[in-house]
Amino acid sequence: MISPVSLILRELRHHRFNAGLALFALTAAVALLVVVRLLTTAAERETRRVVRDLGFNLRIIPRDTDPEQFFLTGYSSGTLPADSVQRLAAGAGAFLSFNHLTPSLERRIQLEGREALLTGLGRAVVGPGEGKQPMGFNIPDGKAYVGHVLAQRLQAKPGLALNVQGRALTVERVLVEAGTDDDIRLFTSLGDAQAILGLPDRISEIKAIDCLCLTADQDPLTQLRQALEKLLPESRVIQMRTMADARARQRQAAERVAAFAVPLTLLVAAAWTCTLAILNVRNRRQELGLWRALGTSSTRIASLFLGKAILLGLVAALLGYLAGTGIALSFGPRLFPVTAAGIQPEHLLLPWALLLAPGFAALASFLPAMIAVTQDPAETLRAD
Amino acid sequence: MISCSHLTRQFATRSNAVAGLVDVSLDIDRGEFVVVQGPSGCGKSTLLLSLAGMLRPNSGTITVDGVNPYSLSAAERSQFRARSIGFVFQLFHLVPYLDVRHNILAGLPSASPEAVARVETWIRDLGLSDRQDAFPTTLSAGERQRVALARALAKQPPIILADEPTGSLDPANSAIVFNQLNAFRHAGGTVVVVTHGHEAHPFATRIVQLEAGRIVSSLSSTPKPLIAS
Repeated sequence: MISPVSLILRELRHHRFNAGLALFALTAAVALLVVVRLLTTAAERETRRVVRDLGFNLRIIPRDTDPEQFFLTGYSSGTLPADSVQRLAAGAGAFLSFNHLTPSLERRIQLEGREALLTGLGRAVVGPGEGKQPMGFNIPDGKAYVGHVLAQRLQAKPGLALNVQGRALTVERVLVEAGTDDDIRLFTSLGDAQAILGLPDRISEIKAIDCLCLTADQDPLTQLRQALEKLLPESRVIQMRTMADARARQRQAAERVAAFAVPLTLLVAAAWTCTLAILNVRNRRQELGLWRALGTSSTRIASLFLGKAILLGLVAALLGYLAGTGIALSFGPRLFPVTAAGIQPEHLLLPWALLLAPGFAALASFLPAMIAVTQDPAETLRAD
Repeated sequence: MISCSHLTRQFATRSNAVAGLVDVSLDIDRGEFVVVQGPSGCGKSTLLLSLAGMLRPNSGTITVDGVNPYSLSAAERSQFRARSIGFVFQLFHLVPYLDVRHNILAGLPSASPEAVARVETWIRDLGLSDRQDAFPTTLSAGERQRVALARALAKQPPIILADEPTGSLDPANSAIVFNQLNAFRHAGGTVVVVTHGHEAHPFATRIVQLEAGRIVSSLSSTPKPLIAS
C-alpha cells in the first residue's frame, strides 16, 4: 500500500510537464483575478480622485442669501458663524452627504486702487477614517496666494509685501492662470480675511463635495437639502449641477465597470479552473478504473484526485497571488499615475485565493471522479 | 469456488443491444485451471470481468467463495476484489507513473513486511530485478506482463483471472506467464484464463469453449506436471 500523498507526488513528478501546464494555467487564472481586482480598485480610486479634482460642487451659504446678489457677485453677502463647519461635521450622517468641508469668507476689496476678490480659506474638514487629503489651499496666517491676473497688475512675486486694508501680508505663491475669477483673487487664511473685513468668527460659505454621487435624474439636491436642514438649518445648499452630474456619472461608470469586471473574471477563472480539473480526471479515467479493479476503495481513489487538485490549487493560489500582485504593482502606476501610491497589495486576496482555487479545483474534480468510481471498473477501463 | 448461473450481459449500442453473454452457467472448483476460449467478441472477457466483480451482469447470479459480489456495496465489492481476485489484463494496465516495484506494491491491500518481502521475491522470480526502478513506458511487452502478473500473484489471492495474458507476448514470455500461473494452481490457487490461442491448453484442467456469448462445450483436460521455473 502506497500512501496517497506519495502517489500524488509521484504522479506530479512523472507527468511534470502536464502538471506544470496545469499549474501555470491555474496560476494564470488566479493572477488574472488578482490583477483585475487590484486594477479595477485602482481605476475606481483614480476616477474618484480625478473627479474630486474637478473641484467643489456644493456651496453651503446663509439661508437668507439673496440669490440674485449671490450669482451677480459670486458670493453671499450674508454670513454664518465660523463654527458652522464643526457643527456640520459633527452632525450624524453629515459625511454621507458632504465631504471636504472648507469654510471661506469672500468679499470684494480695494487693492492698490482697483477691485479684487478676497477669499479667506479655513482648514478643510474631511470624513473620519477616510485618510483623504484636504482639497484646496492651506494658507498660513500672514501669507497670501495671488491670482494670475491680479499678480500681473501688482507685479507680485513670492516674498512681496502687501498691505491689504491695513493688514500686512507676504506673497507666498503666484497662481497659474486658471481662466476663472480666481485670476483676480487674493487668497489668505480665514483668520486674515476675517481681520481684514472686520468679520471675526464669520464665514460666508462652506464649500463641499457631495458624497451621494447621484445623477441629476436621481434628484440628489432634495436629499442634500433634507440632510442640511437637520444639521445646519440656518443655511442652504447650492449644487453646481453640471459638475456634480458629470462627477456622479463618471464615478457610477467606474463602479459599474468594477462590479462587472470582477465577478466576470471570477467566473472565467472558476470556469477555467473547473475545466482543467475535469480534463485531468477524464485523462486519468483508465487509471481510475485500474485502481478500482485492484480493489482500491473509492475514498482512497477520490483522495488521489482531490488531493492533486487541492495541492495544485494551493500552489497556484500562492503563485497567482504573487504574480498578480506583482503585475498590478508594475503596470498599475503607469495606468493610474494620479493615485499610483494607492496601488498596494491586497493581503486579504491571498486567503481568498487559497480558499477558492483549491476549492473550485476539488469541486470540479469531485464530480467526474465520483461518477467514474461508481461505474463498473470494466466500463471505466474500456473508456478509451 | 466460483459459480455462475444463467448469466446474461448485453451492451447497448446506438441502434440496438449486443449480447455479450447469453444464459451462461459455469462451476469452477478450487485448484482448477480453466481455459476459456473462443473467437474474438464471443464474450470471453465479459465473462471474466463479470466473475471478477468488475462488470455487473444484466441477469443471473455469480458466487465466489459463497459470496455474490454484486450483492455487496461498492466499497465491500472493492474489498472483495482486493482480497479475493488477482487480475491480469491483456493490456497490462500498469500505473504509468509508478516504477516496477511500486506497480507491484500498488496491488497489495496492505504493505505488511511479509507482503513487501513477497514483492521482492516475485521481482526476482519473474526476472525483473534489473528493471525494478523502470517505468512502464520503458518496459518491453513481456516485462510489462510479468509486472502485471507479479502484481496479481504478490497479494496471494485465492483466484487469478487472466484476460489474454499472453496476447502481446513472444513464446518465451508466454511460457513464463503460464508456468507461473500453473505454479500458482499447484499451490492451491484457482486460475481462469481467457485466450483465443492454444498456448494454455497444456496447463488446463478444463477447456471451456464460448461462441456468441454461449458455452458450447466444457471439456476436462489433463494438465502437464509442474515445471520448476
